Amino acid sequence: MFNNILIKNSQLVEAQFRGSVATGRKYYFTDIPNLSRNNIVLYGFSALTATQLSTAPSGKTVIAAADADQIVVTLRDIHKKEFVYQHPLYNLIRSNVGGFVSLLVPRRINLTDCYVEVTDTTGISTDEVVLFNFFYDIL
Amino acid sequence: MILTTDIVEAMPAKTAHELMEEYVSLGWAADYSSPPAANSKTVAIRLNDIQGTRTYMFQDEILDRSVIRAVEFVDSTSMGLNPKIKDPVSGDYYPNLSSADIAKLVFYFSSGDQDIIAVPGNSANLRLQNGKHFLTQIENIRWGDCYILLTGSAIGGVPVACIRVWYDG
Repeated sequence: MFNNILIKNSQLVEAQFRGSVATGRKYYFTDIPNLSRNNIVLYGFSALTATQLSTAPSGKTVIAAADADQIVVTLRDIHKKEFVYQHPLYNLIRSNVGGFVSLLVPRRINLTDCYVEVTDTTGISTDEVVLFNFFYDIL
Repeated sequence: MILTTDIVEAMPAKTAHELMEEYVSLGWAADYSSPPAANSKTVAIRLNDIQGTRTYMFQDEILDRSVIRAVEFVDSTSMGLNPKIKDPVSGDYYPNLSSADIAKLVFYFSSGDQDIIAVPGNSANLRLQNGKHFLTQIENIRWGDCYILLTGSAIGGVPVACIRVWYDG
């Protein structure tokens, strides 16, 4: 068997660069009512740049593909534990890793505690978003 | 297997091999080297070419009664012309969308007013994903409730989205 993710439910979520873009700052995910219930279990996720989706469903501008190697993402669970800490965004883009999706040991997450950081601000503009597809199941 | 809090809380202690077995039994992972399903069909639809608008799929009773195992956005590199919708004057099939145009689209599996799965076009293009399907396990939906959202700017011309659907049932 050569397994890849099977998607039961998914939701596009975004973290927006509000205010000035700077290293050392945390840019939090925007709340999604669908994912704010306590019975949501995240088991995989992928990232998208403008090459994968030119504009977010919210209408916001998505970061350029060239900026993907300047961003890391941190996910926190409902106990505030950073179970994914500073994961390189580049490796979460399916087409960069042979079409595979990153599976997670499943967690109930607190979306608005999750955030992205930049390691280099070059090319990233205020109000752009980093877009993710979160794959989840329901308890 | 039905997902419970106990199952989720026990998972961090498991080995990678045990985890993958559990993922398969929960329907969270599947073998990508096997055929996704016993049947497949091509669906094409002309898009509303206005940014932010939805194009709902035509009703399909076969897909309504089936388990949908995978979807694929076909781009013009993979197949130049769509095989379903023709220009009424010339009789020629309309071209498929380029990969750049597919990157303006999100397909939503929906049931009633609830979106179940968001499928960004690029993520479901077999060529761009090294042959890995966008695997799903969707059943008991109305295909006519599913739609394509044009998130990007207008495509121009006669934009026809060409989707391959893999299904059992």
